Amino acid sequence: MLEAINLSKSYNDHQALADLNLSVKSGEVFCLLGANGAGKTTTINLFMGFIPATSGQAKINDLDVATQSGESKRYIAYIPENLMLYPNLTGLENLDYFCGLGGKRNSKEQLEELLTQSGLQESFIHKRVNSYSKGMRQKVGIALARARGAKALLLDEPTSGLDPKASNEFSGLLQEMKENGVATLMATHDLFRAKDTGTHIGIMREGELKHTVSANSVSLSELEELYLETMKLEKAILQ
Amino acid sequence: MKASRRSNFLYRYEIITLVRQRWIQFLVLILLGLVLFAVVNGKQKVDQRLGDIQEAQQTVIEKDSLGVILLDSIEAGFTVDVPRWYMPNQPHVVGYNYTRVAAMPPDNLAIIATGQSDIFAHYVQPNLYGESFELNYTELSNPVQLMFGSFDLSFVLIYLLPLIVIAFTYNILSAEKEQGILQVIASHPVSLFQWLLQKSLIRYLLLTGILVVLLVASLSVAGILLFSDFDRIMIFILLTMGYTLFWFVLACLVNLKGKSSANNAVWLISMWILLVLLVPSSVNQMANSLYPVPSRARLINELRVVNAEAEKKADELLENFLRDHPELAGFEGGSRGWKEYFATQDLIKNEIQPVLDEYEVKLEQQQAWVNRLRLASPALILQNSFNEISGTSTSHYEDYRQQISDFSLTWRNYFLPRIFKGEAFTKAMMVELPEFEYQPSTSYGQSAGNTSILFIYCVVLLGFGVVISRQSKIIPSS
Repeated sequence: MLEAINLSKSYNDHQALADLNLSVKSGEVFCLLGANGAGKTTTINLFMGFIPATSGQAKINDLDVATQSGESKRYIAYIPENLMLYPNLTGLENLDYFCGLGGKRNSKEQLEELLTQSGLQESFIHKRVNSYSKGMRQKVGIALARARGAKALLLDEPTSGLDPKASNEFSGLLQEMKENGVATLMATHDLFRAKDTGTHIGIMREGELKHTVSANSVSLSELEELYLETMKLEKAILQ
Repeated sequence: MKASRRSNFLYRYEIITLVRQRWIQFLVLILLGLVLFAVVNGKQKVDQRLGDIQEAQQTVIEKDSLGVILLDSIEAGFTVDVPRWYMPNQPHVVGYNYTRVAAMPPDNLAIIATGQSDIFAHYVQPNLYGESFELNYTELSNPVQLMFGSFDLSFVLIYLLPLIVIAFTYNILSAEKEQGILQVIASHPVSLFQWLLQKSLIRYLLLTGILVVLLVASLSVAGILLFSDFDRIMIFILLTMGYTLFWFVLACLVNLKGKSSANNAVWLISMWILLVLLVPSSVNQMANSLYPVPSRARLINELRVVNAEAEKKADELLENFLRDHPELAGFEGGSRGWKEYFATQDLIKNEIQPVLDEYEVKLEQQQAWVNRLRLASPALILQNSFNEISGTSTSHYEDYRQQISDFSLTWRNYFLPRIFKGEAFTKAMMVELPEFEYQPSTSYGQSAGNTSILFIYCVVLLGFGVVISRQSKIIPSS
């Protein structure tokens, strides 16, 4: 569903992403781990078509993002680190608006149900978003992904800043989507969440995907060790 | 989902979003206040102008009634206790004291733009003596001199409306970008450029809708007969819509450059200063420098010299005058002094004609220059059109001046034979006195064409927008 083929991005002399190759199939959750500036967000932005690739291809459902941007976006949903919505619209109105942008119309009842299923308290559905917490906005994002029937989900540090309960709820929602066959690419700093939710874990450093492991094949401590080892190498290189 | 359904959907949420924002409500209130104040202000001026004319006409009626009573008594053989120079049975006394009001009543739409009405008189009473009418009217100002004057509708629409449009649009794209919402929008299968256009269109329709309702309602309340001038009202509304659209499209272009909201605001205010303040005042200055009108002092000086010369050879001039006007020769009656006076007036008029002509030529050149350069700024285009629509343009006053000039001649020619023949003025003649009837100009000049020019400007700017959007893709994140 999601595929990066020799995907690279550079800004002047700085190589933000170098020859990335990865593939995320339906029902898989690929977690990208790495320090700040490792290239995780760049990867997500390239898949979203927010920035043009220097070379290589990002494909969604076999559609090249660079040349078939509009068509490829029909299959994806995106939740950034801090999902921003129109503050003067209610959660329901925001959901209706963005569904409309994506070309989907749902009845009010359907939208209410989607929001409830995504964990948003009923009392907040008709309240303006300016009274929402970050976790509530992320839940609207999940509801939006569901409403649009997205086949792929691109998440850029979606649990960053969420309290453990909200983070746990979010993981539960991802799990549900995974079971429904949604392919997910998630950039995160959270090793525990990556191990808990992911099917594959990639560790990035300086724009390169250094390791890819199956989440089932490593324990949390092994993952941590591998991560720190990769980061130490980076530190050593820097010194 | 069909594109039209999606557009309707976007319109609904854009309007909901706007309506729920306090600053929009505040802007609409400001707009309402400005339009109402301008209409009240304009109406006061128009009412004052009408009042002045009516007062002058009432004075004429009262004077005429008194004249008729006096003539009645004189014709009945009574002795009237009136000084000789007020006796209405003498034609030159009637020609001087019982003048008609040559008025230019305000147009039905005069409250839209004060235009040149601030510097011109709206009624005169041409009489037989004194300076010729032209001398009072040759110091015309060029057409944009008074642009900074009255707080009328044209001032609100030309100067203040763009500021409201700027407040409405300076962050039409950048706000979403700065809030992070643009990323969410860009994650959907929608062209950001088209989305921006749709969003701008909704805001444009909302603002112009409010504006048009405000204008029509306030003009109706002010007593303007909208249906009797339907075509001019339509041009006025189209011009306003075109001008508003121009600023909307400009704001979209600035937003497309992808800078911050603060940066956009600075750019748009700079454009406002350039197009609304600097260009019009530069055109004004250039018109004055390139085609300076001869000094009025010079004209008065020449007039005095010619007058003095004429008085010295009054006898000779009268002979020449009677040779040129044989129909007035051979009558013994009447005062020789008055006959000499009229003979010298002809000479004076001929002598100063070249200076007057020079005035005319320079003014025409100034106006032609300003007219050509109106294309340099939409503000100039609008001022030009609003003055035309309101009947307060320079050409309207030029036309009025010509009508007065013609009436002056008619008035003079009515009395001259009677003065030269020494005829007595009778009560019956009082009702035959020439009357001035103002013939309003029916053309709105370039207003209709100006409307098209404004919309062409918008299309050209929009074309630039398409080019910019193709050359540099909208980046959804800051």
